[in-house]
Amino acid sequence: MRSILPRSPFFHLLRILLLAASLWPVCGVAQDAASGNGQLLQATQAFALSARIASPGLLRLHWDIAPHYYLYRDRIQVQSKDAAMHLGELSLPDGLKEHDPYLGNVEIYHGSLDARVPYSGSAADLRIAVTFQGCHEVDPKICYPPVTQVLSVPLAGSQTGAIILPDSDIARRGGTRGFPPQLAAESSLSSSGPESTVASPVHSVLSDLPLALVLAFVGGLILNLMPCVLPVLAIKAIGLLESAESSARTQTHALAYTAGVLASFLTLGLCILGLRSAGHALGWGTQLQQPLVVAVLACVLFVVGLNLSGIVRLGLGIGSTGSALMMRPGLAGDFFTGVLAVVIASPCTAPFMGTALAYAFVAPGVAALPVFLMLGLGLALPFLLIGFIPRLARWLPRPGRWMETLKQLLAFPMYLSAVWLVWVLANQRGVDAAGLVLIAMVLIAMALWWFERSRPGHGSTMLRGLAIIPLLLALAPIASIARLPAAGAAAHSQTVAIPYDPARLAQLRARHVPVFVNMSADWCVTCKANEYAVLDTNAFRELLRRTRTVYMQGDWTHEDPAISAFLKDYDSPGVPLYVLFPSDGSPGRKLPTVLTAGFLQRSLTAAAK
Amino acid sequence: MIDRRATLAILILATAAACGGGWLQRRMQTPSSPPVAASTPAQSSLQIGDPADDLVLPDLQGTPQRLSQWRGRPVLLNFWATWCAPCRKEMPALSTAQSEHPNVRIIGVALDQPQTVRDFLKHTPVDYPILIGIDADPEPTLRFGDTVGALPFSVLIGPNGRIERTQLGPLNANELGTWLQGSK
Repeated sequence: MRSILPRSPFFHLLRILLLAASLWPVCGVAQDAASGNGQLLQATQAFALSARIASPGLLRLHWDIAPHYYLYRDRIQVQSKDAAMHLGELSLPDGLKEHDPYLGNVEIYHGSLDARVPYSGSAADLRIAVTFQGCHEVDPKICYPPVTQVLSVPLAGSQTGAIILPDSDIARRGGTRGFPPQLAAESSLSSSGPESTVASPVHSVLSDLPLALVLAFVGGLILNLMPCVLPVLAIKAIGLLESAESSARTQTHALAYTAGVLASFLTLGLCILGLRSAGHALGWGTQLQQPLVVAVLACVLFVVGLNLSGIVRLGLGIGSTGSALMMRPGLAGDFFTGVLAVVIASPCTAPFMGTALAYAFVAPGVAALPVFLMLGLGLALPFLLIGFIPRLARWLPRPGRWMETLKQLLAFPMYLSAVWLVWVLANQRGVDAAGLVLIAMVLIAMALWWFERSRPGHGSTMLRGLAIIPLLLALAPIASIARLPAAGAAAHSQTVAIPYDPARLAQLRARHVPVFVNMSADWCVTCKANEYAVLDTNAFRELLRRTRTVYMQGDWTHEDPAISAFLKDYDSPGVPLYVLFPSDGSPGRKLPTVLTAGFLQRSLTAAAK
Repeated sequence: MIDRRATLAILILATAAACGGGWLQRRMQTPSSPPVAASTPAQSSLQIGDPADDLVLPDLQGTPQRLSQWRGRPVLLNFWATWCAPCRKEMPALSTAQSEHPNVRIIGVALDQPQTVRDFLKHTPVDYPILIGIDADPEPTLRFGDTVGALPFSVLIGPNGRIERTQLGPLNANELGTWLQGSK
């Protein structure tokens, strides 16, 4: 290290920053995983409620209704939870008219619903209880009990976009199930316990534009040090040093980069404003809730990392990828470095940024944009300084071999950021998604390897074009990530498999209940194949139901003595192991390790007799 | 030597900076999404093969009825409510099933106010007893594994008082036949 890196205070600082940056994901904040609950959504997910002030005196309620779910028009009620605030009559659009044999004519809503309620009175915020009820209209056809949610909509400050704060998501259970709804609303209030603590973020939101701008600026500045952004900037800075151009050229480069950053932040700000006016609740990082975005970002970071490691040298031929543009000499290259910096900065939140963004998300339209621009200015500042104060550039160390070392070193924070995104994806869409994105990365690496190998002089251009094949193949796993269900969303709506338990098995056998035992593990490919082809199908569930067979599943992903003992009993060296216990109490029968639907059908039918 | 000490100092400083940054980030970050409320109370659900709780629920006259009084024959608990269209649609099939399988006891548990239920039954009578489950605590549907709290929800309890099957969503005539066939 000493022989390559010159010893100077600058380098000590750089090393501190680098280490801090790479440790950030470890010490930083974990992302909450989206969790599902079986095939059916919880009522508050199926009917996602948000509220904001449409104009002074008019509250707008918005429901995002999941596909195949609907809300009843005459089951929607709104009540003020504050004696100082009065609500007018709820105005609802016409719904789809349907005839119900008991209730008569009813109206229902699909997709989304906007309702308006006039209000009057003076308070810092409007606290309301909203009750609604709806159903799932495809199999299993079910209805949810009436749900009451208490919302707090701040009125102070801006009159247009207000923050949404369901401060209690309650009353789904307990006394609120039936009618009258007044009763429901009351009990929800009493059960919403620590309301004040939850409501506090509303009041901590800044009402002060200048302060928000300062915080945004500082946040943007710190963003430079985030593990994902730092490497890109370092490379660009090195490039700047290497070229050793005239100060006028350096200034143009810095300005082009700043333009790229500001343009990206402006686009981001406009998108957020647009979505917000459409009634969506958004936050910084909302884009990371989209598994597809996460997967693509992980791949981008991986490619940038490979580039830094020197495994590939992009930017010498292809003009279509972002990193190629980044490496391109000239102003376009600088502009796209700015864009790339914002793109890969998006998973990160720097300190102080949160407060500034919270302001931007509630500020009336125009005031939000300066906040985004300030963030951009903060991010671009180091470059502007280097460009415009030549003395600063003179403080920077001289170009030399150490730059190659630094570049390769900076690849590692990139890989770590990619790892973090894969982990986020695994939380969102389960381990399958993580596997798919890793496959995509391998394919991309293969494409880059071939591209690099067949550089002119080593092969023909046509051969080089073959690199497109693995690249296209890499699209397939990424596309299938989009189709994966949310993590935890099991494929069945009813209790089918029960966990393996020797005592329960003995009990069931004593009662002459046929039992089908499946011992499997996540890492067992045959098990997964059987599950995919036979066991996770509706036909198999139907077969279980018809033969009244209890389905017991043991998970040997981790060591489990009870399962190991069971495997030993059946002379099975490992999983999968399928054993069928007939209803006549005769000993369990070991089934082959590869199952077919027809074979199971015959075996289970025979065992149930 | 000096270099080594410097490296150690750098490492400590960097770790402190990263943790400080992480802490600051967490502190300063206003929740961008509303806090997710605890989904379901951490109450254990029963599983297939478990003995069912001995519920005591009032009937339409307010008289408490104990579930174990039907021990010895299969009991089909059907949780429903008047606001639930698929539940109401399922009820005639349950009435038919009750007359076809007199050995089985079908019980409708209404998660609704007693007066609403009485009004409904005047309009649509059924051939099996109805109990009121709205005030039961812990909630019987949750105990039997209906974690989303939706209706209709059916539970088949064997003659020995153990849970044999559960289903969220209506049972059609075929399914009812299969459910009740074996419960002799």
